[in-house]
Amino acid sequence: MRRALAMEFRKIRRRNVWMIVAALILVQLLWCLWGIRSMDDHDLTQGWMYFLYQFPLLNSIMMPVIAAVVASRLSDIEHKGQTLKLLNTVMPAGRLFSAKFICGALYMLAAVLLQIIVMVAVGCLVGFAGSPPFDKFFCYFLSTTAVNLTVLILQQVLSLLFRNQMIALTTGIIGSFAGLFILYFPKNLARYLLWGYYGVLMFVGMDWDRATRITDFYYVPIDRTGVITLALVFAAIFVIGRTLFVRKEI
Amino acid sequence: MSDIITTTGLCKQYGKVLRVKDLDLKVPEGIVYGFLGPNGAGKTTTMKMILGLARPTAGTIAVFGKPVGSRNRLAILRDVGSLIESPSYYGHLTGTENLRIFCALKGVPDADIGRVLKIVRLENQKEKKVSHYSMGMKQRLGLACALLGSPRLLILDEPTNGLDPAGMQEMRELIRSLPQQYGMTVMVSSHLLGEIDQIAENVGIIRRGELVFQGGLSALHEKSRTNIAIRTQNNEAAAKTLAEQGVACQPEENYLLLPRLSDNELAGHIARLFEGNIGVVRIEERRKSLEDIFLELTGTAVSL
Repeated sequence: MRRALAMEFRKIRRRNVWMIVAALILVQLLWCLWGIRSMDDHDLTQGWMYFLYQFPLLNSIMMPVIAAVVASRLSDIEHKGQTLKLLNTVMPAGRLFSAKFICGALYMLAAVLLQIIVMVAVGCLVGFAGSPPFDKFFCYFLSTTAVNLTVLILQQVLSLLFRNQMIALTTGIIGSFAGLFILYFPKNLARYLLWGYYGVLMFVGMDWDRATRITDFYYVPIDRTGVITLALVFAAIFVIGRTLFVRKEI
Repeated sequence: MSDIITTTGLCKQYGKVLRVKDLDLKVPEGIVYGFLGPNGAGKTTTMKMILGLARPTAGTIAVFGKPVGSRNRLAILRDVGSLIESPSYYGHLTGTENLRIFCALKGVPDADIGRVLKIVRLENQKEKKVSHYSMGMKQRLGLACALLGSPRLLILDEPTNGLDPAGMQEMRELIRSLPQQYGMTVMVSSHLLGEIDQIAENVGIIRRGELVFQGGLSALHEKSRTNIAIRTQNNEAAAKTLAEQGVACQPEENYLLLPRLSDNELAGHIARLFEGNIGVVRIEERRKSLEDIFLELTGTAVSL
Protein backbone atom coordinates (compact mmCIF):
# COMPACT_ATOMS: atom_id res chain seq x y z
CA MET A 1 0.00 0.00 0.00
CA ARG A 2 2.87 2.37 0.86
CA ARG A 3 4.31 1.91 -2.63
CA ALA A 4 0.90 2.46 -4.22
CA LEU A 5 0.47 5.67 -2.21
CA ALA A 6 3.95 6.88 -3.15
CA MET A 7 3.05 6.27 -6.81
CA GLU A 8 -0.11 8.37 -6.44
CA PHE A 9 2.04 11.31 -5.35
CA ARG A 10 4.46 10.61 -8.20
CA LYS A 11 1.60 10.57 -10.69
CA ILE A 12 0.32 13.99 -9.67
CA ARG A 13 3.70 15.69 -10.00
CA ARG A 14 3.23 19.00 -11.82
CA ARG A 15 -0.57 18.70 -11.40
CA ASN A 16 -0.37 21.36 -8.64
CA VAL A 17 -3.09 19.81 -6.49
CA TRP A 18 -1.73 21.77 -3.52
CA MET A 19 -2.74 25.01 -5.24
CA ILE A 20 -6.41 24.12 -4.73
CA VAL A 21 -5.82 23.84 -0.99
CA ALA A 22 -3.71 27.02 -1.03
CA ALA A 23 -6.50 28.91 -2.83
CA LEU A 24 -9.03 27.77 -0.24
CA ILE A 25 -6.84 28.85 2.65
CA LEU A 26 -6.13 32.21 1.04
CA VAL A 27 -9.84 32.94 0.52
CA GLN A 28 -10.69 31.88 4.07
CA LEU A 29 -7.82 33.95 5.48
CA LEU A 30 -9.15 37.02 3.66
CA TRP A 31 -12.63 36.22 4.97
CA CYS A 32 -11.24 36.07 8.54
CA LEU A 33 -9.45 39.37 8.16
CA TRP A 34 -12.63 40.97 6.81
CA GLY A 35 -14.63 39.55 9.73
CA ILE A 36 -12.32 40.90 12.43
CA ARG A 37 -11.80 44.37 10.99
CA SER A 38 -14.31 46.04 13.33
CA MET A 39 -14.38 43.85 16.42
CA ASP A 40 -15.17 45.54 19.73
CA ASP A 41 -14.22 44.22 23.20
CA HIS A 42 -17.33 42.06 23.42
CA ASP A 43 -16.52 40.46 20.10
CA LEU A 44 -12.90 39.87 21.10
CA THR A 45 -13.98 37.90 24.16
CA GLN A 46 -15.93 35.59 21.88
CA GLY A 47 -13.36 35.60 19.03
CA TRP A 48 -12.47 31.93 19.13
CA MET A 49 -16.12 30.89 19.14
CA TYR A 50 -16.75 33.33 16.27
CA PHE A 51 -14.14 31.55 14.15
CA LEU A 52 -15.41 28.10 15.12
CA TYR A 53 -18.88 29.25 14.06
CA GLN A 54 -17.80 30.96 10.83
CA PHE A 55 -15.47 28.30 9.44
CA PRO A 56 -18.02 25.44 9.24
CA LEU A 57 -20.30 27.83 7.33
CA LEU A 58 -17.50 28.70 4.94
CA ASN A 59 -16.63 25.03 4.64
CA SER A 60 -20.15 24.04 3.65
CA ILE A 61 -19.87 26.40 0.67
CA MET A 62 -16.25 25.76 -0.31
CA MET A 63 -15.23 22.28 0.79
CA PRO A 64 -17.56 20.32 -1.54
CA VAL A 65 -15.99 22.08 -4.52
CA ILE A 66 -12.46 21.62 -3.13
CA ALA A 67 -13.10 17.90 -2.55
CA ALA A 68 -14.57 17.56 -6.05
CA VAL A 69 -11.56 19.24 -7.66
CA VAL A 70 -9.00 17.26 -5.59
CA ALA A 71 -10.72 13.93 -6.38
CA SER A 72 -11.05 14.85 -10.04
CA ARG A 73 -7.39 15.94 -10.36
CA LEU A 74 -6.30 12.60 -8.88
CA SER A 75 -8.66 10.48 -10.97
CA ASP A 76 -8.85 12.11 -14.39
CA ILE A 77 -5.19 11.34 -15.12
CA GLU A 78 -6.16 7.66 -15.26
CA HIS A 79 -8.97 8.32 -17.75
CA LYS A 80 -6.96 10.73 -19.89
CA GLY A 81 -4.02 8.37 -20.31
CA GLN A 82 -6.16 5.20 -20.36
CA THR A 83 -3.92 3.81 -17.67
CA LEU A 84 -6.50 1.73 -15.80
CA LYS A 85 -6.16 -1.15 -18.25
CA LEU A 86 -2.43 -1.26 -17.54
CA LEU A 87 -2.69 -0.60 -13.78
CA ASN A 88 -5.21 -3.44 -13.46
CA THR A 89 -2.58 -5.87 -14.70
CA VAL A 90 0.08 -4.79 -12.19
CA MET A 91 -1.87 -4.02 -9.00
CA PRO A 92 -5.22 -4.89 -7.42
CA ALA A 93 -7.91 -2.36 -8.36
CA GLY A 94 -8.98 -2.15 -4.71
CA ARG A 95 -5.49 -1.06 -3.67
CA LEU A 96 -5.47 1.65 -6.34
CA PHE A 97 -8.84 2.90 -5.07
CA SER A 98 -7.62 3.02 -1.46
CA ALA A 99 -4.27 4.63 -2.35
CA LYS A 100 -6.06 7.35 -4.31
CA PHE A 101 -8.39 7.99 -1.40
CA ILE A 102 -5.53 8.25 1.11
CA CYS A 103 -3.69 10.61 -1.21
CA GLY A 104 -6.74 12.88 -1.55
CA ALA A 105 -7.48 12.56 2.17
CA LEU A 106 -4.00 13.87 3.02
CA TYR A 107 -4.72 17.03 1.01
CA MET A 108 -8.07 17.48 2.77
CA LEU A 109 -6.40 16.88 6.12
CA ALA A 110 -3.75 19.45 5.30
CA ALA A 111 -6.51 21.93 4.43
CA VAL A 112 -8.15 21.58 7.87
CA LEU A 113 -4.79 21.82 9.67
CA LEU A 114 -3.96 24.99 7.76
CA GLN A 115 -7.38 26.41 8.63
CA ILE A 116 -6.66 25.84 12.31
CA ILE A 117 -3.24 27.47 11.94
CA VAL A 118 -4.91 30.48 10.26
CA MET A 119 -7.53 30.71 13.03
CA VAL A 120 -4.95 30.50 15.82
CA ALA A 121 -2.53 32.91 14.12
CA VAL A 122 -5.17 35.52 13.29
CA GLY A 123 -6.79 35.16 16.73
CA CYS A 124 -3.51 35.67 18.56
CA LEU A 125 -2.56 38.57 16.28
CA VAL A 126 -5.82 40.39 16.87
CA GLY A 127 -5.81 39.56 20.57
CA PHE A 128 -8.80 37.31 21.17
CA ALA A 129 -9.48 36.85 24.86
CA GLY A 130 -7.91 33.82 26.47
CA SER A 131 -5.55 31.27 25.03
CA PRO A 132 -6.63 29.28 21.94
CA PRO A 133 -9.06 26.51 22.96
CA PHE A 134 -7.09 23.62 21.54
CA ASP A 135 -9.60 21.02 22.72
CA LYS A 136 -12.26 22.80 20.63
CA PHE A 137 -9.91 23.07 17.67
CA PHE A 138 -9.29 19.34 17.96
CA CYS A 139 -13.06 18.83 17.89
CA TYR A 140 -13.24 21.08 14.83
CA PHE A 141 -10.44 19.10 13.20
CA LEU A 142 -12.26 15.79 13.74
CA SER A 143 -15.71 16.95 12.69
CA THR A 144 -14.57 18.86 9.61
CA THR A 145 -12.28 16.02 8.53
CA ALA A 146 -15.10 13.50 8.96
CA VAL A 147 -17.39 15.45 6.62
CA ASN A 148 -14.54 16.28 4.22
CA LEU A 149 -13.53 12.64 3.82
CA THR A 150 -17.11 11.50 3.28
CA VAL A 151 -17.61 14.14 0.59
CA LEU A 152 -14.20 13.24 -0.88
CA ILE A 153 -15.00 9.53 -1.12
CA LEU A 154 -18.27 10.31 -2.90
CA GLN A 155 -16.42 12.58 -5.33
CA GLN A 156 -13.70 9.99 -5.89
CA VAL A 157 -16.24 7.28 -6.70
CA LEU A 158 -17.90 9.58 -9.25
CA SER A 159 -14.58 10.70 -10.72
CA LEU A 160 -13.31 7.15 -11.10
CA LEU A 161 -16.50 5.57 -12.38
CA PHE A 162 -17.38 8.28 -14.89
CA ARG A 163 -14.86 9.26 -17.49
CA ASN A 164 -16.61 12.59 -17.96
CA GLN A 165 -15.42 14.70 -15.03
CA MET A 166 -18.27 17.17 -15.46
CA ILE A 167 -20.53 14.68 -13.65
CA ALA A 168 -18.32 14.73 -10.54
CA LEU A 169 -17.62 18.45 -10.67
CA THR A 170 -21.28 19.33 -11.15
CA THR A 171 -22.13 17.15 -8.14
CA GLY A 172 -19.52 19.09 -6.15
CA ILE A 173 -21.02 22.43 -7.16
CA ILE A 174 -24.57 21.26 -6.44
CA GLY A 175 -23.34 19.97 -3.06
CA SER A 176 -21.82 23.35 -2.33
CA PHE A 177 -25.12 25.17 -3.00
CA ALA A 178 -27.09 22.51 -1.16
CA GLY A 179 -24.75 22.77 1.85
CA LEU A 180 -25.29 26.53 1.94
CA PHE A 181 -29.09 26.52 1.57
CA ILE A 182 -29.68 23.64 3.95
CA LEU A 183 -28.26 25.87 6.70
CA TYR A 184 -31.42 27.97 6.44
CA PHE A 185 -33.57 24.91 7.12
CA PRO A 186 -34.05 23.04 10.40
CA LYS A 187 -31.11 20.92 11.49
CA ASN A 188 -33.16 17.73 11.20
CA LEU A 189 -33.56 18.33 7.49
CA ALA A 190 -29.81 18.85 7.06
CA ARG A 191 -29.26 15.32 8.38
CA TYR A 192 -30.67 13.93 5.13
CA LEU A 193 -28.08 15.67 2.99
CA LEU A 194 -24.40 14.76 3.11
CA TRP A 195 -23.27 18.34 2.48
CA GLY A 196 -25.42 19.55 5.34
CA TYR A 197 -23.17 17.81 7.85
CA TYR A 198 -20.76 20.75 8.05
CA GLY A 199 -23.71 22.42 9.78
CA VAL A 200 -24.98 19.35 11.65
CA LEU A 201 -21.63 18.77 13.35
CA MET A 202 -21.16 22.44 14.36
CA PHE A 203 -20.60 22.76 18.08
CA VAL A 204 -20.97 26.52 18.40
CA GLY A 205 -24.39 28.14 18.49
CA MET A 206 -25.31 31.80 17.99
CA ASP A 207 -27.87 34.11 19.58
CA TRP A 208 -28.59 37.42 17.97
CA ASP A 209 -30.54 39.82 20.09
CA ARG A 210 -32.71 41.90 17.80
CA ALA A 211 -33.14 44.66 20.40
CA THR A 212 -29.53 45.11 21.49
CA ARG A 213 -28.08 43.93 18.20
CA ILE A 214 -25.56 41.93 20.19
CA THR A 215 -24.41 38.55 18.99
CA ASP A 216 -23.62 35.90 21.56
CA PHE A 217 -21.88 32.62 20.80
CA TYR A 218 -22.04 29.53 22.98
CA TYR A 219 -20.71 25.96 22.84
CA VAL A 220 -23.17 23.08 22.33
CA PRO A 221 -22.43 19.37 22.63
CA ILE A 222 -21.45 17.73 19.39
CA ASP A 223 -24.28 15.87 17.66
CA ARG A 224 -23.50 12.20 18.36
CA THR A 225 -26.26 10.88 16.10
CA GLY A 226 -24.82 12.98 13.31
CA VAL A 227 -21.35 11.53 13.90
CA ILE A 228 -22.66 7.95 13.81
CA THR A 229 -24.80 8.59 10.73
CA LEU A 230 -21.86 10.17 8.94
CA ALA A 231 -19.57 7.24 9.81
CA LEU A 232 -22.14 4.81 8.40
CA VAL A 233 -22.59 6.89 5.24
CA PHE A 234 -18.81 7.01 4.77
CA ALA A 235 -18.48 3.25 5.20
CA ALA A 236 -21.36 2.60 2.79
CA ILE A 237 -19.99 4.90 0.06
CA PHE A 238 -16.49 3.48 0.50
CA VAL A 239 -17.55 -0.17 0.31
CA ILE A 240 -20.08 0.27 -2.52
CA GLY A 241 -17.80 2.60 -4.50
CA ARG A 242 -14.78 0.34 -4.11
CA THR A 243 -16.78 -2.74 -5.12
CA LEU A 244 -18.18 -0.98 -8.19
CA PHE A 245 -14.68 0.17 -9.17
CA VAL A 246 -13.15 -3.28 -8.66
CA ARG A 247 -15.95 -4.99 -10.59
CA LYS A 248 -15.90 -2.49 -13.43
CA GLU A 249 -14.67 -4.03 -16.67
CA ILE A 250 -12.25 -1.97 -18.69
CA MET B 1 6.50 -26.95 -27.89
CA SER B 2 4.10 -26.32 -24.98
CA ASP B 3 1.24 -23.86 -25.14
CA ILE B 4 1.73 -20.66 -23.16
CA ILE B 5 -1.93 -19.59 -23.45
CA THR B 6 -4.80 -22.02 -23.65
CA THR B 7 -8.44 -21.06 -23.61
CA THR B 8 -11.27 -23.57 -23.50
CA GLY B 9 -14.82 -22.73 -24.50
CA LEU B 10 -14.19 -19.04 -23.82
CA CYS B 11 -17.34 -16.93 -24.17
CA LYS B 12 -18.16 -13.31 -23.51
CA GLN B 13 -21.62 -11.91 -23.62
CA TYR B 14 -22.45 -8.19 -23.58
CA GLY B 15 -26.17 -7.71 -23.08
CA LYS B 16 -27.77 -10.28 -25.31
CA VAL B 17 -24.92 -10.39 -27.81
CA LEU B 18 -22.32 -13.14 -27.58
CA ARG B 19 -19.16 -11.28 -28.63
CA VAL B 20 -16.82 -14.24 -28.15
CA LYS B 21 -18.11 -17.76 -28.70
CA ASP B 22 -16.51 -20.98 -27.52
CA LEU B 23 -12.98 -19.88 -28.24
CA ASP B 24 -10.34 -22.60 -27.95
CA LEU B 25 -7.05 -20.79 -28.41
CA LYS B 26 -3.66 -22.44 -28.22
CA VAL B 27 -0.66 -20.13 -28.30
CA PRO B 28 2.60 -22.09 -28.50
CA GLU B 29 5.60 -20.84 -26.54
CA GLY B 30 8.48 -18.98 -28.14
CA ILE B 31 6.76 -17.72 -31.28
CA VAL B 32 4.81 -14.75 -32.59
CA TYR B 33 1.14 -15.74 -32.65
CA GLY B 34 -0.97 -13.59 -34.92
CA PHE B 35 -4.56 -13.07 -33.83
CA LEU B 36 -6.32 -11.98 -36.95
CA GLY B 37 -9.84 -10.84 -37.59
CA PRO B 38 -11.89 -8.00 -38.99
CA ASN B 39 -12.72 -5.00 -36.80
CA GLY B 40 -15.24 -5.93 -34.13
CA ALA B 41 -14.55 -9.67 -34.41
CA GLY B 42 -13.75 -9.98 -30.69
CA LYS B 43 -9.93 -9.79 -30.68
CA THR B 44 -9.64 -7.06 -28.03
CA THR B 45 -12.33 -8.66 -25.86
CA THR B 46 -10.46 -11.97 -25.97
CA MET B 47 -7.15 -10.32 -25.06
CA LYS B 48 -8.81 -8.39 -22.24
CA MET B 49 -10.22 -11.64 -20.88
CA ILE B 50 -6.77 -13.24 -20.97
CA LEU B 51 -5.45 -10.27 -18.96
CA GLY B 52 -8.39 -10.37 -16.55
CA LEU B 53 -9.65 -6.92 -17.59
CA ALA B 54 -12.96 -8.46 -18.63
CA ARG B 55 -14.63 -11.43 -16.99
CA PRO B 56 -15.47 -14.39 -19.24
CA THR B 57 -19.15 -15.37 -19.35
CA ALA B 58 -18.05 -18.99 -19.71
CA GLY B 59 -14.91 -21.00 -20.33
CA THR B 60 -11.44 -21.16 -18.84
CA ILE B 61 -8.12 -19.51 -19.49
CA ALA B 62 -4.71 -20.98 -18.66
CA VAL B 63 -1.50 -18.97 -18.91
CA PHE B 64 1.90 -20.66 -18.38
CA GLY B 65 -0.10 -23.84 -17.80
CA LYS B 66 -1.91 -22.39 -14.76
CA PRO B 67 -5.63 -21.71 -14.78
CA VAL B 68 -6.15 -17.96 -14.34
CA GLY B 69 -8.48 -17.01 -11.50
CA SER B 70 -9.12 -13.80 -9.61
CA ARG B 71 -6.70 -14.88 -6.85
CA ASN B 72 -3.65 -15.80 -8.90
CA ARG B 73 -4.24 -13.40 -11.80
CA LEU B 74 -1.73 -10.76 -10.71
CA ALA B 75 0.93 -13.34 -9.81
CA ILE B 76 0.63 -14.81 -13.32
CA LEU B 77 0.54 -11.38 -14.98
CA ARG B 78 3.85 -10.47 -13.32
CA ASP B 79 5.46 -12.29 -16.24
CA VAL B 80 3.19 -10.78 -18.88
CA GLY B 81 3.56 -7.45 -20.67
CA SER B 82 0.59 -5.92 -22.44
CA LEU B 83 -0.43 -3.14 -24.75
CA ILE B 84 -4.18 -3.07 -25.31
CA GLU B 85 -5.79 -0.85 -27.95
CA SER B 86 -3.79 2.30 -27.25
CA PRO B 87 -0.80 3.06 -25.03
CA SER B 88 -1.33 3.94 -21.38
CA TYR B 89 0.56 6.98 -20.16
CA TYR B 90 0.48 10.08 -17.97
CA GLY B 91 0.74 12.94 -20.44
CA HIS B 92 2.00 15.51 -17.91
CA LEU B 93 4.99 13.33 -17.00
CA THR B 94 8.10 12.54 -19.03
CA GLY B 95 8.75 9.18 -20.65
CA THR B 96 11.20 8.23 -17.91
CA GLU B 97 8.82 9.32 -15.13
CA ASN B 98 6.07 7.20 -16.67
CA LEU B 99 8.30 4.15 -16.86
CA ARG B 100 9.51 4.72 -13.29
CA ILE B 101 5.94 4.52 -12.01
CA PHE B 102 5.26 1.26 -13.82
CA CYS B 103 8.69 -0.11 -12.80
CA ALA B 104 7.81 0.48 -9.15
CA LEU B 105 4.35 -1.05 -9.51
CA LYS B 106 5.72 -4.07 -11.37
CA GLY B 107 8.58 -4.45 -8.89
CA VAL B 108 11.19 -4.05 -11.62
CA PRO B 109 14.44 -2.13 -10.87
CA ASP B 110 14.71 1.34 -12.45
CA ALA B 111 17.84 0.17 -14.25
CA ASP B 112 15.59 -1.63 -16.73
CA ILE B 113 14.26 1.69 -18.05
CA GLY B 114 17.40 2.40 -20.07
CA ARG B 115 17.28 -1.05 -21.65
CA VAL B 116 13.65 -0.84 -22.79
CA LEU B 117 14.04 2.73 -24.03
CA LYS B 118 16.97 1.54 -26.12
CA ILE B 119 14.94 -1.34 -27.57
CA VAL B 120 12.15 1.00 -28.70
CA ARG B 121 14.64 3.75 -29.61
CA LEU B 122 13.23 6.46 -27.38
CA GLU B 123 16.45 7.27 -25.45
CA ASN B 124 16.65 10.76 -26.92
CA GLN B 125 13.05 11.63 -26.07
CA LYS B 126 12.96 10.24 -22.56
CA GLU B 127 12.96 13.62 -20.79
CA LYS B 128 10.18 15.05 -22.95
CA LYS B 129 6.61 15.21 -21.62
CA VAL B 130 4.59 12.37 -23.12
CA SER B 131 1.81 14.79 -24.14
CA HIS B 132 4.35 16.23 -26.57
CA TYR B 133 5.11 12.81 -28.07
CA SER B 134 3.82 11.85 -31.52
CA MET B 135 1.37 8.94 -31.77
CA GLY B 136 4.19 6.65 -32.89
CA MET B 137 6.35 7.65 -29.93
CA LYS B 138 3.47 7.04 -27.52
CA GLN B 139 2.96 3.63 -29.07
CA ARG B 140 6.67 2.87 -28.64
CA LEU B 141 6.51 4.05 -25.02
CA GLY B 142 3.58 1.67 -24.53
CA LEU B 143 5.69 -1.15 -25.92
CA ALA B 144 8.63 -0.12 -23.69
CA CYS B 145 6.30 -0.33 -20.72
CA ALA B 146 5.17 -3.80 -21.78
CA LEU B 147 8.81 -4.88 -22.11
CA LEU B 148 9.74 -3.79 -18.55
CA GLY B 149 11.09 -6.73 -16.58
CA SER B 150 11.51 -8.89 -19.73
CA PRO B 151 8.22 -10.75 -19.42
CA ARG B 152 7.88 -14.25 -20.89
CA LEU B 153 4.70 -13.30 -22.69
CA LEU B 154 3.69 -10.14 -24.52
CA ILE B 155 0.08 -9.45 -25.44
CA LEU B 156 -0.12 -6.67 -28.02
CA ASP B 157 -3.42 -5.48 -29.41
CA GLU B 158 -3.08 -3.77 -32.77
CA PRO B 159 0.35 -2.31 -31.89
CA THR B 160 0.79 -0.66 -35.28
CA ASN B 161 -2.43 1.37 -35.04
CA GLY B 162 -1.81 5.02 -35.70
CA LEU B 163 1.73 4.52 -36.95
CA ASP B 164 3.02 5.79 -40.28
CA PRO B 165 4.25 3.17 -42.80
CA ALA B 166 7.87 3.46 -41.65
CA GLY B 167 6.82 3.19 -37.99
CA MET B 168 4.66 0.17 -38.82
CA GLN B 169 7.57 -1.60 -40.48
CA GLU B 170 9.87 -0.77 -37.59
CA MET B 171 7.33 -2.08 -35.05
CA ARG B 172 6.82 -5.29 -37.06
CA GLU B 173 10.55 -5.96 -37.24
CA LEU B 174 10.87 -5.33 -33.53
CA ILE B 175 8.00 -7.73 -32.70
CA ARG B 176 9.42 -10.38 -35.03
CA SER B 177 12.81 -10.16 -33.33
CA LEU B 178 11.48 -10.58 -29.76
CA PRO B 179 11.21 -14.41 -29.64
CA GLN B 180 14.76 -14.92 -30.96
CA GLN B 181 16.46 -12.09 -29.06
CA TYR B 182 14.67 -12.29 -25.72
CA GLY B 183 12.96 -15.68 -25.76
CA MET B 184 9.53 -14.07 -25.48
CA THR B 185 6.23 -15.32 -26.79
CA VAL B 186 4.22 -12.61 -28.49
CA MET B 187 0.49 -12.71 -29.10
CA VAL B 188 -0.27 -9.88 -31.48
CA SER B 189 -3.64 -8.97 -32.89
CA SER B 190 -4.31 -7.21 -36.14
CA HIS B 191 -6.97 -6.76 -38.76
CA LEU B 192 -4.24 -6.56 -41.40
CA LEU B 193 -3.54 -9.91 -43.02
CA GLY B 194 -0.34 -8.65 -44.66
CA GLU B 195 0.98 -7.59 -41.29
CA ILE B 196 0.37 -10.95 -39.63
CA ASP B 197 1.82 -12.68 -42.69
CA GLN B 198 5.04 -10.71 -42.14
CA ILE B 199 5.51 -11.29 -38.44
CA ALA B 200 3.69 -14.38 -37.21
CA GLU B 201 4.48 -18.06 -37.32
CA ASN B 202 1.15 -19.24 -35.96
CA VAL B 203 -2.16 -17.62 -36.57
CA GLY B 204 -5.65 -17.71 -35.14
CA ILE B 205 -8.41 -16.22 -37.27
CA ILE B 206 -11.52 -15.01 -35.51
CA ARG B 207 -14.81 -14.10 -37.12
CA ARG B 208 -17.78 -12.74 -35.20
CA GLY B 209 -16.32 -14.15 -32.01
CA GLU B 210 -15.65 -17.61 -33.40
CA LEU B 211 -12.30 -19.13 -34.22
CA VAL B 212 -12.41 -20.12 -37.88
CA PHE B 213 -8.78 -21.16 -38.30
CA GLN B 214 -5.88 -21.89 -36.01
CA GLY B 215 -2.51 -23.28 -36.94
CA GLY B 216 0.78 -22.49 -38.61
CA LEU B 217 0.83 -19.75 -41.18
CA SER B 218 2.36 -22.33 -43.49
CA ALA B 219 -0.86 -24.37 -43.22
CA LEU B 220 -2.76 -21.28 -44.32
CA HIS B 221 -0.38 -20.83 -47.23
CA GLU B 222 -0.91 -24.47 -48.10
CA LYS B 223 -4.58 -23.68 -48.57
CA SER B 224 -3.60 -21.20 -51.19
CA ARG B 225 -2.41 -23.96 -53.55
CA THR B 226 -3.06 -23.84 -57.28
CA ASN B 227 -6.15 -25.27 -58.95
CA ILE B 228 -6.87 -25.99 -62.60
CA ALA B 229 -10.11 -24.65 -63.98
CA ILE B 230 -11.48 -25.99 -67.23
CA ARG B 231 -14.50 -24.99 -69.22
CA THR B 232 -16.02 -27.36 -71.71
CA GLN B 233 -19.00 -27.41 -74.01
CA ASN B 234 -20.64 -29.99 -71.69
CA ASN B 235 -19.40 -29.68 -68.15
CA GLU B 236 -21.67 -32.41 -66.83
CA ALA B 237 -20.34 -35.02 -69.24
CA ALA B 238 -16.81 -33.80 -68.67
CA ALA B 239 -17.18 -34.21 -64.89
CA LYS B 240 -18.42 -37.75 -65.43
CA THR B 241 -15.52 -38.63 -67.73
CA LEU B 242 -13.01 -37.15 -65.29
CA ALA B 243 -14.60 -38.99 -62.37
CA GLU B 244 -14.19 -42.25 -64.28
CA GLN B 245 -10.47 -41.45 -64.46
CA GLY B 246 -10.37 -40.82 -60.73
CA VAL B 247 -10.23 -37.03 -60.86
CA ALA B 248 -12.58 -35.32 -58.47
CA CYS B 249 -13.74 -32.01 -59.78
CA GLN B 250 -15.98 -29.31 -58.45
CA PRO B 251 -18.26 -27.21 -60.59
CA GLU B 252 -17.83 -23.46 -60.09
CA GLU B 253 -19.88 -21.12 -62.21
CA ASN B 254 -19.26 -22.31 -65.79
CA TYR B 255 -16.02 -24.03 -64.90
CA LEU B 256 -14.88 -27.31 -63.40
CA LEU B 257 -12.21 -27.00 -60.73
CA LEU B 258 -9.62 -29.76 -60.84
CA PRO B 259 -6.97 -30.41 -58.21
CA ARG B 260 -3.36 -29.63 -58.92
CA LEU B 261 -2.12 -31.92 -61.73
CA SER B 262 1.14 -32.40 -63.54
CA ASP B 263 1.28 -31.25 -67.18
CA ASN B 264 1.32 -34.86 -68.46
CA GLU B 265 -1.65 -35.91 -66.33
CA LEU B 266 -3.64 -32.90 -67.43
CA ALA B 267 -2.79 -33.47 -71.09
CA GLY B 268 -3.98 -37.09 -70.76
CA HIS B 269 -7.28 -36.08 -69.19
CA ILE B 270 -7.94 -33.41 -71.79
CA ALA B 271 -7.24 -35.95 -74.55
CA ARG B 272 -9.89 -38.27 -73.01
CA LEU B 273 -12.40 -35.42 -73.11
CA PHE B 274 -11.66 -34.85 -76.81
CA GLU B 275 -12.07 -38.58 -77.40
CA GLY B 276 -15.53 -38.33 -75.80
CA ASN B 277 -16.33 -35.43 -78.16
CA ILE B 278 -16.42 -32.89 -75.36
CA GLY B 279 -14.99 -29.65 -76.61
CA VAL B 280 -12.60 -27.95 -74.17
CA VAL B 281 -12.79 -24.20 -74.59
CA ARG B 282 -10.77 -22.86 -71.62
CA ILE B 283 -7.97 -24.22 -69.43
CA GLU B 284 -6.82 -21.86 -66.67
CA GLU B 285 -4.51 -22.04 -63.71
CA ARG B 286 -6.08 -20.50 -60.59
CA ARG B 287 -4.31 -19.66 -57.44
CA LYS B 288 -6.16 -18.66 -54.26
CA SER B 289 -4.39 -15.80 -52.60
CA LEU B 290 -4.06 -15.52 -48.83
CA GLU B 291 -6.57 -12.68 -49.07
CA ASP B 292 -9.08 -14.97 -50.79
CA ILE B 293 -8.70 -17.48 -47.96
CA PHE B 294 -9.08 -14.79 -45.33
CA LEU B 295 -12.16 -13.56 -47.16
CA GLU B 296 -13.54 -17.06 -47.31
CA LEU B 297 -12.88 -17.67 -43.63
CA THR B 298 -14.09 -14.35 -42.31
CA GLY B 299 -16.63 -13.37 -44.92
CA THR B 300 -15.23 -9.86 -44.73
CA ALA B 301 -13.19 -7.82 -47.15
CA VAL B 302 -9.55 -7.86 -46.18
CA SER B 303 -7.69 -4.68 -45.31
CA LEU B 304 -4.19 -4.44 -46.64
